[in-house]
Amino acid sequence: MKLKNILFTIALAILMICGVYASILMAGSEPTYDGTKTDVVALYEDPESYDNSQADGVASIIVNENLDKTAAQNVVFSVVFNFRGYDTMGESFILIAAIAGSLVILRKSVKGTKEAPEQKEEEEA
Amino acid sequence: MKSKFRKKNIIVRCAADLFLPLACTFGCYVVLHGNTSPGGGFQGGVLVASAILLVFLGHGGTRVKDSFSSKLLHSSETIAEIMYVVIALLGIFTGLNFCVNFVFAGQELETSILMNDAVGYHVMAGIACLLIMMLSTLEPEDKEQDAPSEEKEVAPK
Repeated sequence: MKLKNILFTIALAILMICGVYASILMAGSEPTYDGTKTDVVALYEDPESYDNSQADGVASIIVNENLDKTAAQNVVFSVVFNFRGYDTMGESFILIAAIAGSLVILRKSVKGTKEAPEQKEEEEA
Repeated sequence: MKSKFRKKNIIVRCAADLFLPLACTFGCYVVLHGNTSPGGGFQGGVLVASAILLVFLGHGGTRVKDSFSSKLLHSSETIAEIMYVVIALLGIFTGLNFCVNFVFAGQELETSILMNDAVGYHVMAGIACLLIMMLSTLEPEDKEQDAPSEEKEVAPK
């Protein structure tokens, strides 16, 4: 048990050091998106003739360099599975957790039905 | 179980048999064409899982228990999640980012299509398992629990 606790604390410490280092790097770098060149009113009023080549940050990468970075012709697909792959993975884990929770709730009613086939096998034997 | 099985109306049975392959085929179409058309793994998986409800409507709850096994579906859900994580982690081992297209760079194929299929399989198995568990609560067999319990005491002797 002592070795297990020591390994656990060492792993947590390494994770914390990596997180602190990454946050320091992120705080020091320049912001990639400030929202000054995005005109939401013009986009809402006339979306077909809106010029999105002036957008900056992640939005311009997603819109303009979609086909260079990914092979998906659907932008939504590339956002869900390429640019935001962590998000999709978290959604699937949430689905697993939800189904496991509902299985725990519904287990009582299943126990009653599970006895029936066992009795049938005994009767046949 | 004994003579409790009632046949449904013939119109409901025929409609369920007619729409069952259509629903499965359309769900698989939505999953496999997720990169070029609207939809994707989540929506197509739920469409495929609606086959459980069609079987329940047409043939009753006992047929659902006979034809689908919830244990296999529940384990295959975990397998699909592991598939997603492994395919996504392959980009890290080649020196790139998570979920990045590294195998078919510059071509019309990419690795996230496989991730889409894994998510579709995962959602299909999960929702089907959930539907089976919820439909099993609709048919309580409390009345038959008293009679077989006496037989169970007799049988070991």
